[in-house]
Amino acid sequence: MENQPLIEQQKVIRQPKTHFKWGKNIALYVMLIPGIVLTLIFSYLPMGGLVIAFQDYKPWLGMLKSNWVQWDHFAMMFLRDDSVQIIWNTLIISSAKLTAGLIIPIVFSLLLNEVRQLFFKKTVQTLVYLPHFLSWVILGGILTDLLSSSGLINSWVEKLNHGKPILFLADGDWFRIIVVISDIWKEFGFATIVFLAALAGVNPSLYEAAEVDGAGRWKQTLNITLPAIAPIIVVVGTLSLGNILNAGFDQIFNLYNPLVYSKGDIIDTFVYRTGIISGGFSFATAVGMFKSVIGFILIALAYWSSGKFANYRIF
Amino acid sequence: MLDRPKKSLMVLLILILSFSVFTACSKETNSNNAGQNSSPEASKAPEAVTEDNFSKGKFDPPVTITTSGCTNSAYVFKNGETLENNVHTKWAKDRLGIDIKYNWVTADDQCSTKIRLALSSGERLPDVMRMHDQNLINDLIEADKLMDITSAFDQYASEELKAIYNQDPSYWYGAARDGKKYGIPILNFSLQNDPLMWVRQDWLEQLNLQAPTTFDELEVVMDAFIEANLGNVKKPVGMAVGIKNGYATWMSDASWIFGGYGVIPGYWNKWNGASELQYGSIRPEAKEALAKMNEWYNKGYISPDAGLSDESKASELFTNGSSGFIFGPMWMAGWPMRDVLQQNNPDAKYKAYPVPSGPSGKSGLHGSPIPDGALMISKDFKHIDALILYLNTLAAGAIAKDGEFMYGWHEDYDYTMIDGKPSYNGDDVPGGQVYPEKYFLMQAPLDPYHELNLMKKIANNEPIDSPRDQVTAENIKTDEAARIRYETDLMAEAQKDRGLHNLYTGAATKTLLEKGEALKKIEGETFSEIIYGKAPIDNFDSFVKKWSDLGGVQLTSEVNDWYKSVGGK
Repeated sequence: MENQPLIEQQKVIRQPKTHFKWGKNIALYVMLIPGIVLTLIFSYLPMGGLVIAFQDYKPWLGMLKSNWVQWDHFAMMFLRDDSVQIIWNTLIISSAKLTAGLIIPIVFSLLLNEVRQLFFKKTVQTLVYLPHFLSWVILGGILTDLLSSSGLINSWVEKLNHGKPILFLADGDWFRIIVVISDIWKEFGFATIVFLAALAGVNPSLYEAAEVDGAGRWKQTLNITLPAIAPIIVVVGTLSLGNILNAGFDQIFNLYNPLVYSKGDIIDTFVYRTGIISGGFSFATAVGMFKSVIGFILIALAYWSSGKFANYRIF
Repeated sequence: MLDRPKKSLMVLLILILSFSVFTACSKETNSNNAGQNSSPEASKAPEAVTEDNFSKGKFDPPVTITTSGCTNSAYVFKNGETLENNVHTKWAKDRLGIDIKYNWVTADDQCSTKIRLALSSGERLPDVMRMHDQNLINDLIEADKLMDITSAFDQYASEELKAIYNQDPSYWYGAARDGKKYGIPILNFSLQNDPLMWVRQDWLEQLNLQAPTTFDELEVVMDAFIEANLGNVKKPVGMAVGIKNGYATWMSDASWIFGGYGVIPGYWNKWNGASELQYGSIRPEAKEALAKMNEWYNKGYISPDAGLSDESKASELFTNGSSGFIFGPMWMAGWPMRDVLQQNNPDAKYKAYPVPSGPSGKSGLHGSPIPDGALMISKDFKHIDALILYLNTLAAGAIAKDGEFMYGWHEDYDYTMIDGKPSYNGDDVPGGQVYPEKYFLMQAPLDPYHELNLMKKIANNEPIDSPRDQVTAENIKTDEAARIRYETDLMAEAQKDRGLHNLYTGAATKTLLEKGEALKKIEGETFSEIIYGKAPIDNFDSFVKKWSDLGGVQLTSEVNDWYKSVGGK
């Protein structure tokens, strides 16, 4: 038994380049299996269903017998008057969310990192990520009440605005702002966790050295902390780019109304109305496929550029 | 050096492959199981014609009817019962020899999805399925999964059942296709969802005002209510209206504003003597109504939040004392009036009146359809005679003068006997009141006009023969809620000629499936923007043009073709 480590070591010495230690790592591979199987079943197998995007799908005929209509559903999506509008709405809302959703957690975690009072730090951390666990159905109701013409916010606004309320959720421009702000408020705390973890991993000796060289907190943040967490920022940014066409169905669906269709109707709410309410499965699938293809291209691009410009690679 | 990782990779691949084979196998066995489950039933020789059983009124040996159950959080049970096993399933088995089996029980909102899944996976459907989703009914008919029960209905249905269903051919439009009946329609009470004008009666009395009968009078009363602010709120509004989900809605309705000009938006009818069915939202009358709503919005009669409020949200304006008017159906007397308004303010009094008439002297409201979904019958069902026997028995029970159902469905469930007299008070029933109707395959067939006729009889002091109805009549004298219900019923009856109906109740046409959402979207956008004053009223004309160009013309002709095909005049 005691010899075992020795033998292992010898093997390592004999074959220093390979990392595949079948005998030693078998437990790890076995643990990998459920993940792989689940991915296959739930992520790859359903891709077969994409064929209905090219069919006039009828549930009782199934994927094999439904009529083929080639690109009709894609054509229908782009021939609509409002399709450009909907795609723009989606891009504007989601890119605002992505940008703010990246910057605010970074700034917040940098600030939190400077706090030396541990109890305060932990309390704040817990408080800011709590909203993440609320559902949009509940938050939607609360927001509608808060922002209504006789709501709390408007009782302040009226004092500044000559007694006139602002109809936040009935005005397209305000609607976008509300959607972005409320989403950031809900999610930034949760996003902070990753960055705080990265910050905890920065080698303290770097800071000590910098202090010896006479760098203040600000210089340390700029020259040590930010470069140290840059790879994480790139990963989070790259991964979130794949969601550029997801502007947040739950949230918008619970807040929107016909008055803000022109500024707030996004691809997902549109798919819900056509696909689920009106029973156009094929059409909804076509739109979903379009979204996925764009998302895939964006991730690939972002990954490629992060490799090229930030020298960051996962694979 | 490299072959080792390669080898391990191979092993990994083999492992993955073998897993996928494993899953594929298990899938196959699953479907095999499913096949085995259904095949014995399917291959069971159809039982010898059970004509005897039908006339005997009991099936021996018992036959099975499978169905699907939809529950929600409001379902309460007693005595440890479940949907699958309860007082009603026992009764059906003992009394009729019918074994009610549930293939699945799921939440309300999952019901249609579950049937769609069964449909696409080729799973055997339940024998009878309660459905309210017209698109799903159409899909099932088109998929040839349903049984034509036309002749069976003629053969087995009792006189009572036939009398209920044959009084108006439009009851069958949803559940039939090309003259073939595929299911038993579920019928609402007549006028059940017609909007009435609910007013804060105590405010009217305090300000010494009369209930308005025209739009002009309504404006005067709304002004007085806003001025007086008897609810003592920060921002009183004229009326509680919510237009987020449309204009003809189930509560906080706005259709009567359009009705005052003679149309209902979203409804198909021969408006003001047109020769064919037209879409209400594109008629010039709708433009006038929108101009009026814009005026009312500017005057503060319509809340700035109306566009974001659904039916319940908007009703809060009435129940929290911001507004003295709300338009909704007769059953609002219970909820939200008694349950919310009077909880908030025990002194609040409310009363329903007919909706006021528009500037043209007309008044109108969205008529509520009587058929509301149907009990659809699967093609593989073997015992249609048993089902109709069941429905015959329930139809007779609902109006029974004597016998087991004379006071209610099951003693100590929906009613209890106290000193030889029935009580329907929930507090009296030992173990709590539980309505057995929810265990039924579908609600007991009852003449849609039954309640209104009863109320008229009570009003005219005519004799009432059914004990259940006698109790209703007595309750009106003693119980506040029952009395308001009675008055409201009569009020709805009084305005029944003003109901403007949607004559298009059939399957979604091709254009509606393809373009329906786009058409609805521009309508919702244009209407809200005009009311909020974000767009000039003349945008209505460009909306009409856009609507027609986008497929509206074709839709109109398809709807008219459908209407002719069902024999509409």
